[in-house]
Amino acid sequence: MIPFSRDVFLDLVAQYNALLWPAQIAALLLGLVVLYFSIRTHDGNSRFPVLIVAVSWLAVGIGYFALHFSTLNWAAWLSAALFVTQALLLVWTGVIRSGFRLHYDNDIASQIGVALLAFAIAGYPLLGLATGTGTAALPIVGIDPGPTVLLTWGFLLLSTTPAPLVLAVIPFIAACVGAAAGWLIDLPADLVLPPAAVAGLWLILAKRRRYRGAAK
Amino acid sequence: MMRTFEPKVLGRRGFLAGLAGAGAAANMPTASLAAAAIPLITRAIPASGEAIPIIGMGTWITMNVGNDPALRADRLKVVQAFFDEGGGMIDSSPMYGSSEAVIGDSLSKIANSRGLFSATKVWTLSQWMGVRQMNNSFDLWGLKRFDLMQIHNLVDWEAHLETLLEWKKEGLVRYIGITTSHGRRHDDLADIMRKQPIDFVQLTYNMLDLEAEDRLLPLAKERGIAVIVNRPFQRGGLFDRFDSAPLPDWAGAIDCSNWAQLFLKFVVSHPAVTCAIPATSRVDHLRQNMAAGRGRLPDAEMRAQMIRYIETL
Repeated sequence: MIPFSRDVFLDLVAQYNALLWPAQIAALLLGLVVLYFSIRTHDGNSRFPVLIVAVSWLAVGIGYFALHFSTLNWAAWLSAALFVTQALLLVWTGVIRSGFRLHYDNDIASQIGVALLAFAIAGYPLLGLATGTGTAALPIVGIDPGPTVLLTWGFLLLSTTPAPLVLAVIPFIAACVGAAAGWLIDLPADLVLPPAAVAGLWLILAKRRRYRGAAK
Repeated sequence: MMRTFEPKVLGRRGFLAGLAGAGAAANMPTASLAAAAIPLITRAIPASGEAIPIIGMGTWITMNVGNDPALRADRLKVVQAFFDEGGGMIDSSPMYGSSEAVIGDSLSKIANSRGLFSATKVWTLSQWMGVRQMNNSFDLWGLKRFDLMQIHNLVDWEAHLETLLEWKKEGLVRYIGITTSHGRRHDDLADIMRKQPIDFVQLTYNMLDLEAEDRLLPLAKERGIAVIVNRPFQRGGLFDRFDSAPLPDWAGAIDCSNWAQLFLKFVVSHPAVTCAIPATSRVDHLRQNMAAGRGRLPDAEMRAQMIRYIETL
């Protein structure tokens, strides 16, 4: 059960977007930076793009859920905790331990990964616009949870070594919860999240199996 | 204490007989009934005899608008209209996001809220958290005493009941209630109704969800417990199913000019029901709802006819 209406929710997102403007431009540019690092074939250090994604989760957890959305829904505090936890996991795994390197392999995982990254940056807001969110309430990566979750699935699929499964748990939960809420208050853009999460998880597991097989 | 107004109860046969004699009553304009000059029908709270209007106001979703000034101003108009129409009970919960804050904000800005019967809920685990949550509700509503504090969906009810019995003695709450919704945990609720000193019960009852008629409503009557009905429109489901269908010819016999009034009159005409709490964010819908608290109510025969009619749709 969702304790608010679609109109009130979109009004809240519009308020949040207005409050942060023009941070949306910076967020979109940072999204493009992540996309650039992902497409560029390299095996170098990926701390910077990991940090960008981690900061996005932190910003959505604290700014969107804890400080803003919690006025409408007590459950926003749970989402805030999950998003902050994911940010910490990303920092620990990809920045402190540096156990995360991006690489475009031209395989199905990389192709879907790049497609998800691009969709998170451009497709998600456009789909929102096409389905009636209005320009004021456009969902923007790094600002709003839906595209941030989608960006993360694309990002995880571009890891040279299989992404640690612990990094997929919260994005999977967030995708399911986000889509359920989107279904209940008629926000069709959020319905792309579960297919992306299922495909992402399946491809990560397949990559892990391949790596284990190659290691034997 | 509010003045009690005894409704005229008229069955279909009686109405038809009346029609034969007088002719025009079937289309008695409901607009005239909406005039606040005609008091709302009231029902007595069995525990005290105090009368409250049979139509109250719920706040689930509709009043949860956060801090947006424009949306709060819209909701203020709804609350204002509620009191203009002679409304009494406003029911909320900490579960409903910003609804309590919005109601409190509205109450602080209107002058005619003397008829308010404040009802909210405690919805958390542990006695300590419950006390904290209820104290927060006092602040949000801007009240020093609640007319009714309910234990929401039976959550940790034993712990909260202990607090509330103490608070009732101290005058912080006037009545104690317990709630459920959507047909859940009826066995537990019935057990509490039999064994605990509660004044109110809140449950789901509408023209499609009739389960409460079998056990809970007769039990409430037997035990002298007031009944608040939530989801009288089945969360809009009744409108989805029947709104496009023609209103029956005999709707005028019970002073209904739209489906909302027919749905509500069905609910509040049950002899065990004290009050229904439809929720809306629109003033025009609020006025339609409140008009259901005036005029004639269906008797048992008419109620059966109402059910038979919607079964044909």
